[in-house]
Amino acid sequence: MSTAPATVTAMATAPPQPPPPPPLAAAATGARPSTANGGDAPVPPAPQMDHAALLLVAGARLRYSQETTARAVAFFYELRQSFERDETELLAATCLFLAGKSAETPRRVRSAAWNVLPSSVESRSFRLIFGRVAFSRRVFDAGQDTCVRTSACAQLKSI
Amino acid sequence: MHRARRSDAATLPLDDAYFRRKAAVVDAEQKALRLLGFDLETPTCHRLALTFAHAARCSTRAARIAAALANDALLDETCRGLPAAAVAAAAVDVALAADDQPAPSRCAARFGVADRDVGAARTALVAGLERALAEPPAR
Repeated sequence: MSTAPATVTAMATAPPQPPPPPPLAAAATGARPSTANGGDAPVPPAPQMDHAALLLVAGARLRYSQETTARAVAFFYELRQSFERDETELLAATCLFLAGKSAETPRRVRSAAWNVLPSSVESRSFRLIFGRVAFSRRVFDAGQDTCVRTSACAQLKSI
Repeated sequence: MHRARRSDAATLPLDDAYFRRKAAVVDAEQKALRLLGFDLETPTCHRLALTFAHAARCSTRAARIAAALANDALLDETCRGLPAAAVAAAAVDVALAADDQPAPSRCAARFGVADRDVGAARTALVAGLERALAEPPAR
């Protein structure tokens, strides 16, 4: 057939690879130039907010026990496929509310919904934590109520 | 009242969006309950970790580390996909190793958990701990 030579010709006459993106585009995609080493090596992109970390922070704010928050996390990851992507926040609030009910420590709907709102969750402490730390378990070291004393990292550092 | 009781919190915006959101949470709860088949019994590794620690005669410090590791496992995608008993057994393993105590007694085998799952959970927990310990302390 004549398609193969045409394909070969098209590949042979294909334009060259585009030049690497300028620094502005690299910054927009998350690959920020390093300021510590003079801009030679790119810094890895900022981490995406983990839904489990969001639930843990919200659970701590609701004064849930760790097991109750763990139930909420389990519900969230079990139901995530059944909800739309833009309903993540709603699903997180629902899971926290359901977990509280199932553990016989119910909270108000408004409390569960309020504590997963971005304007509420992204408080000063939350921004401090997730704006700087790659691994979200550091959330326990930053004064988040009952979780502080149970951080494995903090426990091991004290040995 | 909310503002008076919690002076550090922002005032709740009690507009139409607030009530719509509240109703949406209740509707989503109904949907979630049907998807879960009205079965809210979800195994978590916290209680199992403490049970394993008790069975392995762990010290109080090791039991605390195991409970903390069980909590940290919620943040790890690998551990979230493994059985709760495997994560709990791995947490006790790592806690005993960190506390310089003898090897555990393979309690997870009684729950039908494969050693491969326990090993995967242990690897994930140790990797996460190493990352966390390597980070500078939070201010």
